[in-house]
Amino acid sequence: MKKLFLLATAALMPLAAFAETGLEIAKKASLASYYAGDDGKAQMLMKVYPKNSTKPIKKVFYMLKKDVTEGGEQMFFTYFTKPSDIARTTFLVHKKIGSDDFRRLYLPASDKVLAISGSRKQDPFMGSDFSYEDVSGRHFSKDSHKLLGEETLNNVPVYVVESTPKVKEDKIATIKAWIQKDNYIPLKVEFSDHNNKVFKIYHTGKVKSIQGIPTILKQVMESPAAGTKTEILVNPRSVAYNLGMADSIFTERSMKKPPLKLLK
Amino acid sequence: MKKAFERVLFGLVASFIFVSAPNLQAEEDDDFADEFAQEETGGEGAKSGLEWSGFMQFERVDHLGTDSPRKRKHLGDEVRFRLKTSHEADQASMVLKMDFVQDQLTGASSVDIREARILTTPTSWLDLSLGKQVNTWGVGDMVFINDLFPKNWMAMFTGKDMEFLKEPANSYRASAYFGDATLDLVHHPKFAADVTPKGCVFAVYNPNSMLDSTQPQIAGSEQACTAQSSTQPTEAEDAVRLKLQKGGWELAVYGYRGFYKNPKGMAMTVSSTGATLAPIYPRLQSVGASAEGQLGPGIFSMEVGQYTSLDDKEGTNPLIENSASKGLIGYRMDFTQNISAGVQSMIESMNQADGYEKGILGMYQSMGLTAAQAAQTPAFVNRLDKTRSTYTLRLGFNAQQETLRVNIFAFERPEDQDSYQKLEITKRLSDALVVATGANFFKGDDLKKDRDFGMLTNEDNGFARIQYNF
Repeated sequence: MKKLFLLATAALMPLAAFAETGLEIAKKASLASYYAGDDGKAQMLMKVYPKNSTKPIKKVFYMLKKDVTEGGEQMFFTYFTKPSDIARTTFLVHKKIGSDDFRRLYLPASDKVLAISGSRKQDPFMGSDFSYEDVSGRHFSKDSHKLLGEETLNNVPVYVVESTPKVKEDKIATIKAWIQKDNYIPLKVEFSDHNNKVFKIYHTGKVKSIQGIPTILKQVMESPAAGTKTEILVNPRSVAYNLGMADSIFTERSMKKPPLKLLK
Repeated sequence: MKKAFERVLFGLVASFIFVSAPNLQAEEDDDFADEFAQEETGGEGAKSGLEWSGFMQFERVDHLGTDSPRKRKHLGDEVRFRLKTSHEADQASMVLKMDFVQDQLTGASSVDIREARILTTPTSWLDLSLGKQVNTWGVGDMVFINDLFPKNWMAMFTGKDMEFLKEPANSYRASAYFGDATLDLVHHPKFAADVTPKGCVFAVYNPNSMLDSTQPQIAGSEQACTAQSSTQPTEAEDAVRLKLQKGGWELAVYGYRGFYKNPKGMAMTVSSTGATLAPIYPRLQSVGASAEGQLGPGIFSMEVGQYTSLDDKEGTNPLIENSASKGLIGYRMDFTQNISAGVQSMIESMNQADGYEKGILGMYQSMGLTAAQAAQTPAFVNRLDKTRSTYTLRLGFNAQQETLRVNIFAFERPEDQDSYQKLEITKRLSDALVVATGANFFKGDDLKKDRDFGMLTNEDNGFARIQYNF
């Protein structure tokens, strides 16, 4: 009798999976985009296109990340190599959930570690169309999520999820995301303001499986009203996960003496 | 012979192509490989051997107005070529940054080594950094209590990029890490003074006007620069900091033993022609503490320090800086994504104001004046206040995806009745090209010509530079 019950539950499982809630999808999308591997590294090229321009300002940096808790706190270490006048500049973020981030900026010219306020998560990351939160990941617990439906985007089956901040925010009224069904990678995200106007549109440009983990190699963020655009490209050869990074990499000491062996 | 040479050359080129060929054909499926290959020149460890980067810069500084006592229109005109590189090995890493400078006004060329140091980690908890380098600590923004490392005020006052405010010097730095605590020791084998306003560029306060009223209060000469450095001590100086990181807050205690960083003292020489004063660097010992962390939407900071003037502990020598207690509080925050601001308030309190006052009167009495006459001298009437305050305001504005930055920094010192404002506008035109322009404004009281900013009244200047990075 007990066995039969188990079998019946097992038979119902695919149906349960089909009936995923908006929260479950948003959570899985967050885990897929920001929490892949326990730690990871990548070399990135950020191209910030000025208004109506095809000539971007380029920045090259390495980003190391480590998850403190899966789906929770994380640490990010960003080391700039180009342009040469900002080379060796390092940015450290301890991402907190429900409180201000811990942020430090190391300026090599004056050998100074500067405390940066961690409260403004929507401000642009290094002058780009991406916000700090876009780069380090908006936590799913900040929003209420609703599954609007399922459709196909460029022939890829996706979930469409609408997220609304639980606490009213200045910039963001709603976030609408098109999330790939089989791997939970967000393919497109629209950020709307309180006038119901889309002020930022995100696209995933290219995904490649690295160490079995779907890795986004190209991210594009456009700000239609401002006429600006930013692309972040990931060097596929530089990507590695689960390197067993020590916590000591994500400290002030490491900002002054970066773990160059990892930054290759 | 020529043929043989060509053959060798061809061989070299061919072997170079052969060696670099595998790089070109790797990862054919990646759209971005080419793009990254182009960008990889600055990537650490991307290739073996040293990789060089740097910039070429043209900079010009001119007086605004022509009422400077020095009557110089051009304050600076230089071409600067920077080369920098770093190298990582198993045992140690090396950083080298040097500037080749051509002074277009004097025609002199020089090599300015900005950084030449070796970093090594002899044991897991210890980092050593040895060589020519910049050191900095403390929480003040452009005001320094426990940061007694050399500053280049001349660079600041003539509008050089902010990196030049911190003057590199030869030092040994040891940083020991114990959990949340860090202990830093910095030893300068030879005292490194601040670079203070030079009489060969600006007209500066002439201390001899105190003794001889016929001499100008503000003066300068082409020879003044060479005379200045000869009075600097050559002994060592040491600085220590113990820092604790706790929940986003940073707490630190400091100690220093060395000399006042700018010539805060005067030595009197009496000869048959009369007495003359020359600036000196009195001995200094200090202890202090600081705290900095997130408070509300911004960053709160505070710092205190106790300076002991070792050459005048009783505070009775008016020619030597009095011991003083100093404290500052500050707060900075971003108002919008484009606008930020910071304010600071600093108080400096003389420890033996009585001794200082008696000392000035005594000095004039020893020169033959009565007590009443001595009390009427400008040097006594306009003496330093017992308690002096400094207020600073920083305003930052950025636009055009942070490629355009406007910065305003203002000092206001009510008791010294002087002020200083700096305006700087920076625009990044491309990955390589950055242009900047701005101005420095000084104001002081006619009766207090000896004050740091006040002496530079009439030295307002404007600057412009263009920098090509490679």
